[in-house]
Parts: sequence; structure tokens; C-alpha cells
Amino acid sequence: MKPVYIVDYAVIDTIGFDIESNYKNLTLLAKGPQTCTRYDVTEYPHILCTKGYEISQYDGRNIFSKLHNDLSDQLLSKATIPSDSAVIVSAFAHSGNEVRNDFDNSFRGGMSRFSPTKLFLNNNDLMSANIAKKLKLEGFSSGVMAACSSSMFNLHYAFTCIQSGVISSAVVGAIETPIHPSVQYYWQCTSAISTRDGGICKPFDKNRDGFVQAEGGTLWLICDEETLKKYNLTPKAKILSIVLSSKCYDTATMTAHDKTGKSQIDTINKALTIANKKSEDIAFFNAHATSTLIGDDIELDVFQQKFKDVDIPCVSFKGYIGHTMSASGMVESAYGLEALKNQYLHPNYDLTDPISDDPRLITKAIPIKGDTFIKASFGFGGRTAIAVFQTI
Amino acid sequence: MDLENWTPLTTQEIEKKFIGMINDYLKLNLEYPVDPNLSLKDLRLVGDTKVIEQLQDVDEESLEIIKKNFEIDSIDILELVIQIEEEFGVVIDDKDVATLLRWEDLIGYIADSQDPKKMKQK
Repeated sequence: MKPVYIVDYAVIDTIGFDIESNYKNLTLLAKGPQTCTRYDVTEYPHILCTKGYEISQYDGRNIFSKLHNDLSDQLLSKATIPSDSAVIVSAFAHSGNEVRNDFDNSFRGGMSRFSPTKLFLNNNDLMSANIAKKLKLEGFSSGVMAACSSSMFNLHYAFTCIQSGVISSAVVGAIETPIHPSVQYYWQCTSAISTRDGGICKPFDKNRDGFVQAEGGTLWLICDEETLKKYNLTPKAKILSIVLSSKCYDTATMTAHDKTGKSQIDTINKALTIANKKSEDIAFFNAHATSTLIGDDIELDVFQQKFKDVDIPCVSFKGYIGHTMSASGMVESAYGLEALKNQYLHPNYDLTDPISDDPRLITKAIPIKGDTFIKASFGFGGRTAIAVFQTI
Repeated sequence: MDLENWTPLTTQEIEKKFIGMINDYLKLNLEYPVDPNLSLKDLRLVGDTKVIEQLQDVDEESLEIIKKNFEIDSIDILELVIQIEEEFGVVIDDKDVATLLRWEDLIGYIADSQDPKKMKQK
């Protein structure tokens, strides 16, 4: 199998626009959930917005297109992107709803026409094409929908396409702008998001009551070895393995993963086997942990079953950046790669009353050794993605 | 909008405003006045300095290809029509769009059809 390299990544999230300085200053910059001023939030308290966009002129109608435009620019400034690269990007909870509302009003009002450009720029299906257009790329453009694991499913798609020789490089990621009343309402109806104190995000804490949505996204350039040489690219990391599964019957439901943990552990085992790594080789476990009552419990149980006798720290980055929904897997993986690069791991944010006395649920920054970590990503529908990354 | 004191824009004012809209939307440098016989499809050809540079010193066949490639497409025409409707309070029937592709025809149509009640409120 061909090795697959991560050349570079662009990340925009609630912390800011530069992931390298974001990681170094994570505990200083993060203040937990931010209040949205774009809308009247009295009925939708649990929200978090991307700094910079929130105070700018960009309203909900164009923030989605602005975000993928800025991420494209950022990636382009970091690396030469081969023109035959595929673009594999998706979004599933983004606030194109604002434009959708305008469109519905236009339709109900009997207006004869509506701006096609507005529709195209806010269509998550065409997002990958918009990025390909912006970056002048000619490889195929598409995206996989797998709820909050979408970005990791995209990464798997690109990874397998490169390994099999179908493509040699790809721009991969997901972008999400869920800060819109109707999107908030949707997730409130699933009982998955936090409604306490304007929204709190405390993964693995006894006082958690749900996740806090966040705007953000990421685009990565990944490629094979021949492309590295051809374009003189220096990779930051390597994807050793990425394994997917989905189970939402019997011991699992549409919103809660396998309560026995078997399905998730099987997926972790496969990922480690393909990566040719043992549990002891892993520097840390980057949890999906969103701060939901049932999800964090199940994930911690999986972690404790699988890594019973191994001293591996377990951390979720969502307390800092919120839940970027479809983008979360790859956004947080980028933070994981920064952790390896800097050789220290930030603690779980605001973890004051942990659900377990397991010291591996770290509450203070710690130095880490090694060059490899595991990223876990879980989405509704039992979607599971486990990736093993190694820095170079 | 003060409807009682509203006065329609002159043809010249419409042209200048429309040129501004086109330059913003298509990122061009069109200048007033525009050739009245010009087709809307050719706006990019006359308003984009980069395209004009490409037109120099090319053979007839290449010139035709360049012209074809830089024609404003149907989506752009539609976007401009939507902006015209919002800015000037004009309702352009779908069947009329094709007959209004000439600059002079379109400006004349806008001048004759302005309706302050249908203008986009700012």
C-alpha cells in the first residue's frame, strides 16, 4: 500500500485563524463558549461563533462561502497544490439555511427568479466544486456525508483513493457554520446540545449537559510520495491508517454508539493493526467527547476497556473550540498533530469534576513522548472513524 | 423611500449606476460611456484589461476562441437582471431578457419601467 502524507493543513475555528499559534496559546485564548451577537439568541442560548467573523461585516448569508474561501486561501499560502488534486469536502449542519429561508420566501412570494449564485455558494453539495474553482483544480470534487464524522469519512475516501493509485493528491476537509436559530432548534430537538448557563462545553465532566456548536473548518492537502518529490513538498505527517464502521442497532441507537463498546474497540484494533502499532506506541488518545451525557460515558468506557493497562492520556479539544460538527474530526486531528509537534498536550478544558477518577483524563498540560496518536470520531447513525497519525 | 418626491433616474444616471454594478459584480473596469450597440455578453471583453491584453497580436481563430471563452455566461446575465430589478424597481419578464441583451435596449427599458414601489429597500 502506498504511504499517504499530510503536506499541510489550514484551520479556522473559534480560537482564530492560525492553528500553530492557536495551539501554543490554547489555554490563554480559549474562554469556552462565546456569545453570538449575530442573532437574538434568547431562545437559542447555547451557541459559539468564530471570532473574527462574528465582529466582521459577514452575516449569516455569506459566512459559509467566506469560510471556505478563506480556508482555500490559507491552504494555498502554505503549499503548492497540484492542479490534478481531487477536492473532497463536506458540511451537513451549515447555516445555508439563511439563504434557504430567503429562497423559500421568494418561492412563496411568487417571485420569478432567485440568485443562482447565492444558491450555489450555500449548497453543501457544490462546496467542493466551489473550492476546486477557487483553487483551479481539475481532479474530481465530491464529499461524503456521515454526520459529525463526515470529515474523517472524507479523509478515508481520499486516503484509499491515493493508496489505490486512483488519485495522487487531494484537498480534504469539512466546513461548518451551524450558528443559525433553525439549526440550533434542530439540535435542541435531538436533546444533544447544552442548554445550561447559555451553553457549557465540559467533556468528561459530571456537570456536562450537551455539546456546544461552533463555526469552523479545515482543509488539508494530502498526497502520495511521488507527488511530494514532483512538487518538492515537505510533509508534516503521515496517515498510518483510518478505519470506519457504523452500528446503530441492538446495543446502539441512532444517537448513541454501541453501549458495550465492542464495535468501537474492534475499529480501534483494526486501525492499530493496519498502522502496525501497539497501544504502547500511542502518545495520546484524542477523544471525540462532545460533552453529551451518554456519548462521553460510552467513549470513556471504550477507552478504559481498550487501553486498560496502558498509560495513555485521553483528551478532547471540544471544550476549547466547541463542536464543529462535520469538521470536528479533522479540525481536532490538526490540533493533535500540533500537540505532537510541540510535544505537550493541553488538558481537557474546564474539567473540574471528572466522571471518573482515571488520571489519564488529564486536567493539566503534560509533556508527551512519541510521534503517533489516535483520533476517534463518532457521528450520529453509529458512524465511527478511527485514525492513526504520525508526525514526520 | 419618499414616493411623493421621487423622480426617475435619467438615462445617463442609469448607465453610470449600472456600470458601477457591473464593475462590482464582475470585477471589471468598464468606463462611461459604453458603446450602445454592445451586447451584455461582451462586457467582460471590453471591461477586463487582462482580456484586452490577450486580444493583442493573436490570429483570427485564437481571437474567436478568446472571445467565446470570455463571454459573460447565462448565470451572470441572470444575476445582473436580478440586481437591475432590485436597484431600479424594474420587473423584467423572462421572455424579454433575450431581447434586452443590447446595452441601449436594456438602458432604455430600465428608463421606461422604473417603479419606486418595487425598488429594494435599503
